[in-house]
Amino acid sequence: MVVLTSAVAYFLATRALRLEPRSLRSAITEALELFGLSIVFLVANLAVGICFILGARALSGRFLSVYWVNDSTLGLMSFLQAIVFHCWRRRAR
Amino acid sequence: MRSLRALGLAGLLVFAIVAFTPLANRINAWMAGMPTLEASDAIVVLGRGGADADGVLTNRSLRRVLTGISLYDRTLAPVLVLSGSKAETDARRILARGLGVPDSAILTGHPALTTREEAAEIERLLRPLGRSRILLVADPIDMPRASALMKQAGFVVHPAPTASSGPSNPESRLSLARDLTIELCAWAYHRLVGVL
Repeated sequence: MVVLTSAVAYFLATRALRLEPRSLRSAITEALELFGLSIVFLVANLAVGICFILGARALSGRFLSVYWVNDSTLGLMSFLQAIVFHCWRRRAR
Repeated sequence: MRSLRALGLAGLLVFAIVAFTPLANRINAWMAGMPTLEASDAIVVLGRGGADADGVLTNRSLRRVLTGISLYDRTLAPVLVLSGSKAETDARRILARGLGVPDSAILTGHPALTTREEAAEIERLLRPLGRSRILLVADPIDMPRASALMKQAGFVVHPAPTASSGPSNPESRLSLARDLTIELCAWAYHRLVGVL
């Protein structure tokens, strides 16, 4: 499925939108940067979440589960953070 | 930004390997070890994920209790110990009774929120009864740590993992890999603080 839609997108991009096939390489490189940035945000979010839970545990004396940060939406939110940050940085160039 | 690119590429490779190869399944099976379904003094079903406000068990909790009930039906032990939060043990007790386990064969202790607390609570529950050989029901990935904690509490442990091969579709494999990562972190933490 992904290969097929990628091929169609390539065809449309080069024919209808007249994009340069040569610039695809730099687009992939930029996408990798964006993905890397998402990982950085995800790790930061996890670290903050775990520190918050451990801190709250120590301060309140109540058990709070670290599993609270085990939520797939955190991955999506980190990706959104990375997109916004990436776009912002691009505009500043 | 070269480091970000390298990180992105590494992340992408990890994603592809985890989602589209059986690596997570292999690790899952390795962590489960060989089940030892021998006659024991008690079947211990550890908690996992609790129950929601309607008293419905999570998928994993349900799998565990069903495995425990099936072992009881095979008369591998005369007692079924249900552990976990209060909501979880209540829901499990209702289910076990509904599936034919007599109330007198079901034991539940005080609510326990961590595996360490569960080990201590189960020891408090079974030690006075002289029951030391247990069939331990847990998910494959939880088995090494749970088994070690139960052995520390003085039990002879016969592992009875809920499954071993794991899921076969990419999304579930990613979820399994996430759980594996969490469990390995928990294992490392326990080693670090000297509990294991």
